[in-house]
Amino acid sequence: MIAVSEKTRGGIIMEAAGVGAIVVILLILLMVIYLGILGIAIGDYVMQAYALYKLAARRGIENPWLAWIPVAQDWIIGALAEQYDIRKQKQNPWKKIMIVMAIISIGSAFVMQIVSYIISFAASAFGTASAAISGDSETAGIAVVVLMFVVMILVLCVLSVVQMAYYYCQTLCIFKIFESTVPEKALKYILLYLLVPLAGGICLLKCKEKGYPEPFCSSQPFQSAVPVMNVTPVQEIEVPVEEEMSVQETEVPVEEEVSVSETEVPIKEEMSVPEADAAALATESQNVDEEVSL
Amino acid sequence: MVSSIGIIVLILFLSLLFMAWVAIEYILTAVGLYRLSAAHQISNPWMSWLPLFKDWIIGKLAEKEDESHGIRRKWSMVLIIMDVIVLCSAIIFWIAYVIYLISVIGTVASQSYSSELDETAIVTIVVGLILLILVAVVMSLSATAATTCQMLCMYKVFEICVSKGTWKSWLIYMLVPIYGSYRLYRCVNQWIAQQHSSIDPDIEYQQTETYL
Repeated sequence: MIAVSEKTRGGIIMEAAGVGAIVVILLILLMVIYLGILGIAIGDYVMQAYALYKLAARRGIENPWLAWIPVAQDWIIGALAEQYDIRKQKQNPWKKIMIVMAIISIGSAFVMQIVSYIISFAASAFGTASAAISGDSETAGIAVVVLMFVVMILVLCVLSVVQMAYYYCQTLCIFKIFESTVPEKALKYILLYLLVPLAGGICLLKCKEKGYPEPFCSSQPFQSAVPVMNVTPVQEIEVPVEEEMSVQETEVPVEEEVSVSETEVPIKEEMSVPEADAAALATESQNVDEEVSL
Repeated sequence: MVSSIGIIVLILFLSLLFMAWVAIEYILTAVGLYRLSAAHQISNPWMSWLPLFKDWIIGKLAEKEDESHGIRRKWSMVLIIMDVIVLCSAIIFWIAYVIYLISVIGTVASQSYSSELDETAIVTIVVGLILLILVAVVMSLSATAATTCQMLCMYKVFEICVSKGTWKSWLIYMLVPIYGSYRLYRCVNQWIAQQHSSIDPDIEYQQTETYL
């Protein structure tokens, strides 16, 4: 009888040891998974921050070190997207949008917690008070639960809308960064960025040395000079009506024009190409006017 | 009795309201896309009225916008393929879910009558659950990819018809249910009106030039 009880005790001890071993193994497994996820998240963050830092520094964006700071990173992403839009001659304030969205979405999570505490406290206080007044605790309890439920749903709706807006804007800005660096692979990269862990950092790292290396402001004055060069001299030349010619004769004396053109000749050498062309066309038109007036 | 009828009437009224809401939103989006695609001379603009094919039109419009910036990308094909993948994975998931549920109920019912534990049944349930989770993951990933592509294409559509504050119109379209579609419709109409007003003086100018 004693032997049987010892066997039973041994079996129980063995069983407990087996269960303990399983629990320990499960805990180790969970820790490994947790550490793995943490490692992937940190690695992804570091890669993205480094790539954004390099890209921002290369494109002359102010304070590129902001790419290493969690919320400020969105400012850099917005600045890169905004710069790309300016090159496409479109104006969208992505910097402001991104930073505001990031602050709102992170802040709203904290606010949500605080609001939920306040609501639960207020609702319980309201329920207790109404129960004390009416004496019907069941109705008051139902009212409290319904009130809490409605307010929580409303807050959750607002929160989810803000989070979605932030997600959409961030995705679009990242897509713009990919489009500005590797336009032929932008779609593939954005899908990898969103769907595969670690791929986002790797894709951004691949892009960090690509895209417009030349200063983008160089194209602006040339584009603004084009209509001046094409339109105004041609309009001056193509006027075959005699009435307008007589007006020009009366308004502008010939000798003064010649003297002006003589003084302008040495300056012409210092001009840029479009300005020089415009000046040449202007003098041509003046010569035409002179011929007509003669 | 009266209260239950009232609840049924209320549910019917709310469902009708919801259907009308969805219908208005769908019509506004379809009209907007139809007019824009017709203005851009995209073949078969009537496809903007059909649920899946609407994405083809959105893709074509996004392609037009990309082409204006010297980028060639097959948005229409990508969107259609994504939609098909999402649809197929959703169908597979729901069929697998129903089959799995029936098999689990059957196994539990058979186990309740027998005293011994059937290991094969348990293995089948676990393997089925893993397969179901895998299909769900594929479905959610493809849905995310499709949503992202649609979102990017819609931004490009708004880039076509809105010159300033594109992001605002696009975000409203994405987040606000019925007003977003109305905004798209209004933007398209304004853009078409603007195109007409900018084309007409040019035509008049050319005519006067030839007469001179």
